Amino acid sequence: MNEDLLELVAETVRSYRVTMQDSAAPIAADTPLFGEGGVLDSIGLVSVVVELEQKVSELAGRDVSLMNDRALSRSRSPFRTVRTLAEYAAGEMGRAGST
Amino acid sequence: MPPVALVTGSRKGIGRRVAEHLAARGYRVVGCSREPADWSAAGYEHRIADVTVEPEVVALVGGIRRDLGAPAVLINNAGVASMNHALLTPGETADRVLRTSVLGTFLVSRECGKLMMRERFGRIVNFTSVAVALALEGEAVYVAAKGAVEALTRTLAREFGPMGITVNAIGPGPLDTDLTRAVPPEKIQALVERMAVRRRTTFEDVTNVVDFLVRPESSAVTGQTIYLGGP
Repeated sequence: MNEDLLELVAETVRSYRVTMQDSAAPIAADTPLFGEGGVLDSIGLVSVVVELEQKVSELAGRDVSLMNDRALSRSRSPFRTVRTLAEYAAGEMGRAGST
Repeated sequence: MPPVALVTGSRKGIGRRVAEHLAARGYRVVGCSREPADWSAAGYEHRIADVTVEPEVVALVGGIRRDLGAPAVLINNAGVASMNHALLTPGETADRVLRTSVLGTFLVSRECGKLMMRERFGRIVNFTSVAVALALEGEAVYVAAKGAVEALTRTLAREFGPMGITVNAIGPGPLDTDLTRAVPPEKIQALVERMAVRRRTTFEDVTNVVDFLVRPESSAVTGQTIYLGGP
């Protein structure tokens, strides 16, 4: 797992929570993002994913899409935790390069 | 920096008039269509994009973000009509009408919504038609497509509301555009007779409502469809 990407996701979540004046609970790789025990509500999740999409597009130097039909699924969403989101973003960045 | 507005389908008709109007009011306006525009105005630039092709929409909106910043206003005007009896309408035509209005409005709204969300401000104006309210015969697919745009307007208003973005729709009566020029005058007259205000819609009627919907003070006006001329 790319540690920089993991930190980018965590930082994006932290920054959203600061903007929303949410509690400053630490955000780590296995912090649940959405659903049971999640630190984001649905709008928060959308905001974080859109912000991250922008950041990884800048990193990749091309448009990377993080949209996913399973976004709000509790069991299969790639956005369950900081780590799964970072892994998903890494995969999509790789895929964008190969197409 | 002047606020940025994106107007789809701005090569001619309502799109052109709204684009010219917003540019005259000080917006930095980007218009788009599948083909180049044969007109120009201060504060206006034209880009080529097909709103039904996802990568083209992503590239269009990404380019606007890089060059000018996030749009404050999106006018989803691109649309095609097919005035024909349902029994004589080819599936290919139905597909094109539906894709341009419904998919096009969705894709451009989604991409602009991402940028507007970060600014906590956005004004999206979609285009429907009095044909929906009148269930106008001879326009079954067009009415279905615009009905879907109205449903999309209401639902996007709810999804985007918490982000400071309003989404509304304008439903003009018959204007003098390519879209209505193909219709026999007596058909247009019969349509006008069924409306509360018995005259053709003017472009000024449209830009008047555009002005109302896009102004910052209209932050509580969302999910609405405003028919011009009344149904």
